[in-house]
Amino acid sequence: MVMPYSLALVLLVPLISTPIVYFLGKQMGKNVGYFAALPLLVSLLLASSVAFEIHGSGSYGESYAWAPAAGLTFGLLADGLSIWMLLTVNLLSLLICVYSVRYMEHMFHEEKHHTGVPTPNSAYASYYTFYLLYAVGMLGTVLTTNMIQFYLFYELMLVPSWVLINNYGYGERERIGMMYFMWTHVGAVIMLAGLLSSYWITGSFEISALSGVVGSPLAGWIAIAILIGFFTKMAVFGLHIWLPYAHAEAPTPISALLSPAMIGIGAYAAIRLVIIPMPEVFSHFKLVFSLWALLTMVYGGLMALAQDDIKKLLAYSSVSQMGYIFLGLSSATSYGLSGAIFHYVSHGLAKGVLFSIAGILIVQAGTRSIKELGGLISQMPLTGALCIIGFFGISGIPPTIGFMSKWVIFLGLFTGALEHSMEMIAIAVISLLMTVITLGYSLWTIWRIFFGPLPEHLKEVKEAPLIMTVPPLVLAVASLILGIFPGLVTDFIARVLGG
Amino acid sequence: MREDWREMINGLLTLVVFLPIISAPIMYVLRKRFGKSLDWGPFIILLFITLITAPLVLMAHEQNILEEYLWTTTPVKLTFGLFGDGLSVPVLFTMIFVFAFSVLFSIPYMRRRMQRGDIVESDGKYAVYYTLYLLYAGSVLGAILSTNLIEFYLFFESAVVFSWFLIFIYGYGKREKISLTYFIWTSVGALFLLTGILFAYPYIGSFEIADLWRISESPIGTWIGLSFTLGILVKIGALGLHGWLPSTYGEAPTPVSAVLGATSVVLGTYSLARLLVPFREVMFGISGWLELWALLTILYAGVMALRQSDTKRLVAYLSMSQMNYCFLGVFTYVFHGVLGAVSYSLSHGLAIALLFLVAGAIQYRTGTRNMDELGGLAAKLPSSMIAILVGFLTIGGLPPSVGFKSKFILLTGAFERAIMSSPLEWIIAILAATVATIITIAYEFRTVWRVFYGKLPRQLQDIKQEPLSMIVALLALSSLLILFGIWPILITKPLDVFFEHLPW
Amino acid sequence: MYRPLWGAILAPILFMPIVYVIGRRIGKKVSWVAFIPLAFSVASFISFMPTVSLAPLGEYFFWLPEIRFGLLLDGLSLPIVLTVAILSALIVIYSTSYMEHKVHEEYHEDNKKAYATYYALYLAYATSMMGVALSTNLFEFYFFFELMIIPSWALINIYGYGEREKIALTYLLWSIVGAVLFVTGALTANAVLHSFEISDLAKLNGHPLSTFIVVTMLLGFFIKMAVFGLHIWLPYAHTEAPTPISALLSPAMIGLAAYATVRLLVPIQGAFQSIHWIVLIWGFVTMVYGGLMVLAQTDIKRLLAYSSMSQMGYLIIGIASNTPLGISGAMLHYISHGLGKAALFLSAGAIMHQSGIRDIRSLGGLAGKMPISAVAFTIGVMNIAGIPPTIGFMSKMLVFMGAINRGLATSPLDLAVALAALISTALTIGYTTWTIRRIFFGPTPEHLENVKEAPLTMTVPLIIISIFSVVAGIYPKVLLDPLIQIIQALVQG
Repeated sequence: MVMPYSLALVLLVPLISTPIVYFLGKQMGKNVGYFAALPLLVSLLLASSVAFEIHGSGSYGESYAWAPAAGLTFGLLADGLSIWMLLTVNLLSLLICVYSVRYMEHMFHEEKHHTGVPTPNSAYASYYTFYLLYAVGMLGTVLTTNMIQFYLFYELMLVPSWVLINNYGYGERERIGMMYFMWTHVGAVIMLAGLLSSYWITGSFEISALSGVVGSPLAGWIAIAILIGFFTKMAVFGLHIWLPYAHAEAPTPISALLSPAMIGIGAYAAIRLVIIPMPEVFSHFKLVFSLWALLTMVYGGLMALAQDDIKKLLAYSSVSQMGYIFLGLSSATSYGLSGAIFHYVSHGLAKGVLFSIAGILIVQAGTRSIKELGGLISQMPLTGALCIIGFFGISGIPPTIGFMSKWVIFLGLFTGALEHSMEMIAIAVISLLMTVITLGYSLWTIWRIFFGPLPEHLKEVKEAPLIMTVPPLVLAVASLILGIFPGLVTDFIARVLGG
Repeated sequence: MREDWREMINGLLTLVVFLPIISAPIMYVLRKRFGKSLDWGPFIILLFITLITAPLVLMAHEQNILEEYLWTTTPVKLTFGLFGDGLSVPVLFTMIFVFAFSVLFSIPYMRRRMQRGDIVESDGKYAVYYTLYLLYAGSVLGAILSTNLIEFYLFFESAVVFSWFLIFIYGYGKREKISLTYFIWTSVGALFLLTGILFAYPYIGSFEIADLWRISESPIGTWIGLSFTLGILVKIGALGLHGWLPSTYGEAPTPVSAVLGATSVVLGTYSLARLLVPFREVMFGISGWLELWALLTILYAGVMALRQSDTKRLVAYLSMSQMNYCFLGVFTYVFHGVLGAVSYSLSHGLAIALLFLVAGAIQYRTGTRNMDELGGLAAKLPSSMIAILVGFLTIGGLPPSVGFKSKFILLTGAFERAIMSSPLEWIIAILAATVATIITIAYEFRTVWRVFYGKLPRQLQDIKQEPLSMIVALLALSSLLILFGIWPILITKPLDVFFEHLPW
Repeated sequence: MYRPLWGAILAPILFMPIVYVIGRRIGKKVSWVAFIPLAFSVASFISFMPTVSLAPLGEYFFWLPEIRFGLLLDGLSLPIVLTVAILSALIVIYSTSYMEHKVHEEYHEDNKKAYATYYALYLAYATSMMGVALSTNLFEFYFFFELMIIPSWALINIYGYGEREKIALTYLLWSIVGAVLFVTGALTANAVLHSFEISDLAKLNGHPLSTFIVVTMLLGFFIKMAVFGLHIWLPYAHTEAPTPISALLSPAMIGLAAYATVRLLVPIQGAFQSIHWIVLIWGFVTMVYGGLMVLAQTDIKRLLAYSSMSQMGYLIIGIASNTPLGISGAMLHYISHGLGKAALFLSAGAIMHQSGIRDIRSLGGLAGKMPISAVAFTIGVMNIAGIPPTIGFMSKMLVFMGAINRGLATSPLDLAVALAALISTALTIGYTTWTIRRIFFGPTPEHLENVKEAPLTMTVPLIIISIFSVVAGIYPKVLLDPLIQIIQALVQG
């Protein structure tokens, strides 16, 4: 039995904690991170109880009157599709928050070295404050049932993350922050245009009402408009320029949320807002989308191969992985879609691990450059093992969850190709073969960082402290468990998507 | 009495597959804590499994065992099943036997490797070795018993992963590069396999291996079959897909070469037999060309073997040459051909493991793998002598070994196939029976002679006998081969019964 | 349930490990231990002699559901296997002193392991030859046929003379080539008949592939018989093998291929008839060539080797006649050549053992010094040349009768060949008598002054073989009647 208002509380608890965290932060400094984690933990527990609930009954929704005059209800829906999005985002946010404590401490320490100015507690305070806001934004996006509400949370994701990049990032962070903001915002606005047009046709702001658009001559345009917003977020090829910079120069814990958690939400949103309500419209573009997805996948993979900066490598890898998810979407089959969401989960877990490790390397070894690393397996065996699991998750090697999600996506692609269009068969086969690229950069990176000779300047490197290794460890274990029992995820998704 | 047995053995297969997997992490922890004495752990575990599987072999021609678990219902209903029938049980037993005795061999071998070699010795290193080994074993066993294509693929890939790690960490020479080559080749092969599986799904309606027979309803059945075949052929090292083989076999740590060699041929042939035989109708047309491919591989590898002086590389090419007889045998698509292929793969698997272990024993005592530096070792290393004799007789298909008998049956199949087909197959069959055999014998006898007879070089005068665990391992494998040579029916009866039931 | 035939042929190989282990303890005397199973085999076969003329004796078991292994003792296989068994048993005794000498020469010490290995391999060799003679199934036949190659290779390789490794390898490769040719034919036969039973081979008559099958198998056998063109390996192998083994290689083993031709190929009358004249000519050429080469030899063993080649030519002529008389004669000649050539090799070995010399030019006048060897040698020669009262006379006569009969009945070609062969027999008699003269008569060179007769272990086998040759020559009936019966059946199909 679920507590009433659970979903609302999932959002409200962190939200309300924000000012508390701010004040506490100004007093406590770096350790406020632990406090910031608490509301996220509460959310996770609530979300889990909802998950148990809907395992039996199918879905759980809450709605609250918001602006009845405008016909706006504030609705939150946890169904098979959204529950794992919720759980993944929540888990990542929680673990990364804990991880941040040490990382940010190190980062501010470095800054102090450079600038000579000690970091005020307010820096910690605002970091965690915006962190929580960012988390709420993401959590809200996946639960929402109403277009305007959706747009609200969508932008709520954007602003705090922009602040975090702007204030706490590396390199030319202001410029990069601005680029990130502009790209995503423009995309969001185009999406808004699409949503409003839909309202104009159907008269409702409910997401479920979007299906009413079908049949109208504007349907295609609306779908495209909405999708552009999501494609920008997913950084598909052509709309991807911002991502490598943003994800690379964001403070690493935030990268660990940007890549794994946030960009994938674009895919979820595409399913929720376009594919489910307007399947025929979407299917029109199947061929184009699948080619586009293949291009994204290959481009991201090849670029990843060429990187020396580990964070940039991971960023391009995320572009490539979004390509996989996009492939799943483009098949427009229930398998493909399920695979896409499933892959969101597996990529989320795996990339979370990998970015955590990037952070560990920065803190312990002092560098992001792969060239300067090597042979670290002897000094940091746990980190090495986690890195391997993480990359295996991305490459789809059993027994990780990546294996499961990959084959489901391709199952969708192949069955869709066979049933509907033969040109897709070629695309399907080529895409499967191109997954070797992922394998390639994964293995190469693992090798270059952890094996081979140990350079002199790294001889003193020690394993990272528990607080930085436990979060990725939890994620890695999760990815293994789900790899063996995929049903835990797919059972839910199937409720909504069939299969 | 039968019913009691049925009760007792239910759950046996699950135990067989999961005991190694579950004990792997436990082994890791205990080994790090308690040190050297735990090295015996994996051997005890695998020996135990060997012993409980042995009676299954005797019963397999009469009854099958099926253990099924619901794995996931979404997005596709998948059952996790373990099936022991006339085909899988003998294969299972052979692989467990090889795994068990190779790990016994590992005990002194790994110690020497780490003391003398370029790996830093530590309890952790030993622990990881045995952990990975157990996981590798479990994956291979799981693949053999799988009833479901996705399950099969999962175990198949996992086996590659764990063996890759073993080579990557504990191999010789440029082990990192070589193991990566191995991994990437095999993974690409696995992708072909996956492609085939995914394309097959819509036509057969499920992922169950038992349903593969429906593939004949598919217009692209031939392509799907070809896709499966390519994936598996990488593992068998067919010409063109074999790039990884000689160096990997050569530079892997010897016990790993042994199980890798055995797995390649046994699991590879088993996969072909299990998965491709249902494709008979749609693949019959191109099977002649596949036979030709097999023959070319046999000849090529045979010639290459003649030019090797490094014992491990010699054995690698030797293995590649003989493995592809199994490839040929399966695609004759007649009863004798497939039966011969599977039984030959079992004898070859045991024999190749044996030969690698012998190479390892020689290296252990003499410090060299280069045959030009060896000679006259028969007196000093008697167990190795027996092992090499038995091993080479089996692999060359010479009487009185079981390899002779299975190869003969295989060739019988090739001729039977030829007579109902075209001149191409005639030529293939004849060449396989003749030229290939001659080349095989030529290099075998030359090697045996050079290494074991002839004059003992001065620097080898004082070498001692092999250590006890190695002796036991070598003798165990030799004995099993001799046993099968005398009573091949032990291993062929279940296979025979299984294949007879198929619609030819 | 005890099966006497299987016991008879498996006894030697089952004794292998025992002989090996005991040999490593006691050294050269282990030959007596090896004698036990061989004597047992001989006794078993002799015990069957009376019954076999009434009805053949067969023992079978199913190895695979459709493949039945069996041993068949009938009028054709009995004399063959008996010859092999007797020779094996006697020669193992002979080996005692011979190997002692060889091992001392080679290793300069008493190397027990060398003895153990020798006798162990010897037993394996014996079993495989007997298995070939009695097989009823092509697969089984091939099994034993290939199995023969391994111990013989090893024996030449380890205990031979000269460049023994190279020679052994040549022998090996040629033998394998022969074996794979055979198996090609056998597998084709199975593909047609779906059976490996030798008794089913006659059903191939008339089938388009029957000629192919016969030709391939025949080529395989011809290599073993060292017919002209495929004979390169023989002079080396038989010469440089340790002499007791030469005494098995020449007399026992290569003739088995002739037996196999009769057992397997003659029943396929249609195909066999069509190639008959090639076979005939080929046999003739082999016979003549071998004979001519003999004349040019100075090494006594090499001389005997070429003589064997020539005798194989005789066998082939007999078989090619395709008449019951001719073929029976050929098989009988297997026995006579077996006994005769064994006697020759063994006495040559005795001479080498006592004098240390192989070169005929350095020998002479040994009759007085080594009377037993001289007599044995002479009887051996008579056997080969076909001079009564040895069995060689009987067998040669039958071969010619068969050839001439055939020649008269069908073609002048056969007749011509038969006559030419008769004439070349004269050559045979010529060289053999001349050899005897050179070795045993004439003045005794100085360096042979102190030569004594060979030890008992060598002379007793010689004596026994000679006795057999003569006895069989006087009472051939007991072997001949059942033999002719079977051959008739095979020829008429």
